[in-house]
Amino acid sequence: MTKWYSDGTKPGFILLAGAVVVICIAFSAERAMAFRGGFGGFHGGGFGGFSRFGGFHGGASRFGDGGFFDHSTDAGFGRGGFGSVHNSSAYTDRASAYRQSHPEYQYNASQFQQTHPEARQNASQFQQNRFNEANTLQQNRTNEANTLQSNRYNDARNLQYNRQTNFNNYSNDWGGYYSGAGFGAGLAIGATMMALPAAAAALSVAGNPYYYANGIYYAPQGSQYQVVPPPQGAVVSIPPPSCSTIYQGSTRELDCGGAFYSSVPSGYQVIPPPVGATVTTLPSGAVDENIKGTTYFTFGGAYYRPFYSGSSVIYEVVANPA
Amino acid sequence: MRIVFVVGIGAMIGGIAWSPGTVAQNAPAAASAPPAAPPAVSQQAVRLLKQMGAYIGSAREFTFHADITFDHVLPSGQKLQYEAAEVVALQRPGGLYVEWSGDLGDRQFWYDGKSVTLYDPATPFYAAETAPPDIDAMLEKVVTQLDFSPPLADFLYRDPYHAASENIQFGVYLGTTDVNGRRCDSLAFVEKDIDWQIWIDTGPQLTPCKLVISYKTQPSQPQFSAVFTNWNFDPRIADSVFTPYLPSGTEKIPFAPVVASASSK
Repeated sequence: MTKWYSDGTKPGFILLAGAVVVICIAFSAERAMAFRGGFGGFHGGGFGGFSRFGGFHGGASRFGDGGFFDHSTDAGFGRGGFGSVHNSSAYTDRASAYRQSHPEYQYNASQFQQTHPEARQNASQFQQNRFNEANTLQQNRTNEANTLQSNRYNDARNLQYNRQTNFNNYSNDWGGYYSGAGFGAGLAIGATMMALPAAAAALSVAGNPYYYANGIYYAPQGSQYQVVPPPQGAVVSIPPPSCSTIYQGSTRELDCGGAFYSSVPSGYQVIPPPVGATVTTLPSGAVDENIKGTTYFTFGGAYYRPFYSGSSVIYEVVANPA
Repeated sequence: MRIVFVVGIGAMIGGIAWSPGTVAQNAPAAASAPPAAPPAVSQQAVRLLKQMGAYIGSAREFTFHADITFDHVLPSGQKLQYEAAEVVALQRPGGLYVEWSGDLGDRQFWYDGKSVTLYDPATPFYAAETAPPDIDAMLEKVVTQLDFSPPLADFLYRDPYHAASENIQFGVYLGTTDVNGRRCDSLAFVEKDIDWQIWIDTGPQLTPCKLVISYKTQPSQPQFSAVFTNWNFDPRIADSVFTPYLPSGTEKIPFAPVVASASSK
């Protein structure tokens, strides 16, 4: 792919790092409507249940935990026209629409802390942990990059599965229909750290120990702690920092940048993703299945269909297509 | 990077000329509507931008490399900076290949005059869509209908000056500076949603040395920055470069259509 160079030299790409495996779920009524139109009759059936979420406040589609400027899914490759002067108006319109539908991103840092007191607790230690996490994340990403570089030309499908496996060693204990998406504050699933944030609270889900702080779940792994997807069934007293309210009938639920929560008497419980949701990474153990000429991935009774959203591959949760 | 400004700030401002007609503002205001403020752009900035645009736009084919940094904003407002490298091969009227390799992932983009193909090598999937027969129309289609565009698309249009200057409100010439060993003229522009700077080689190749876009209306004002190298206007690009090269077993999946919303055009 560099053969246009007349002197025969390659451009000297350096793979700076591998993809950050941040699981996120995008959930948008408008997007779902688009799928309906774009995918024809099949998805018309698949989204039958989606109208239950008529109360979801609209706006631009969700792409990640960090709002429109979260590039963990598009890799920075031009979503909405990013990186172009000519397309800047279109891009900022999209970003502004996103923020209007997600007011949490209109906060500045101090407002964010005021509205999330857990983040203020022992700020210095939190900051220290963030640095530790960042260092660990960087190491993990570098390791993954090396693996990706060596594997990517061999078998892309295997690579996809390997990545999920690498980041979901804890998945055997999650169980259930779908463990949900998991990320928080930009931390990748699979990142490990020596110490928990000061505000971390202990949880037990299906007999397995977890810790939760500021939207992030940690699972003990030897003497360290690994960032894991929100375990389905977990109940926390404080929801993650950035959530949108959705309704199933009269039931209020939260779309917390990819993880879905239902309000329960003791707090907020992690629930399975609804049909119409989209995820950027498949749950560990998902297998592909060709149904009527279309590739789907299945896991725990849920069906996922891949497509490109902008420059990102994401997977839509659909009803059983068989 | 050593920056040597050849003029002072006062001189820069003083050098700004009100230049109606240099930037799109030809439509007369309605009688009852207050007249829109004309863009204030220094004549030197306009001249340099036009020269650069003419130089690139008149080329039949070229390749370049760009080292890119871009910001990723967390909900707290904290910015994280990531890096990427981009290689572009363009052949008019209907050939474009873009290879992106970055911290957060890679992408390959092909355009052969008939269709566009996008591939994320970390997945076993690609997507393809029919496209108009020339690069300008293709770029408009991908951004409006497929919701992305190759970064640095400004320099791929037939008229890069027009593409980049449509919304300029204010622009100044800042002087000359060194960028990666290249002597470059530095220009700064203000638009409604972004501020941007461009460094243009003083010659003989009037190519961009660097581009910085600041998304000033967005939280934390994230930036996109690109430093250009290896401009080649005689690359002898093989036709096969514009043909998708995909690993065996890679499957085609659809593009999700863009959904217009009230505030998203």
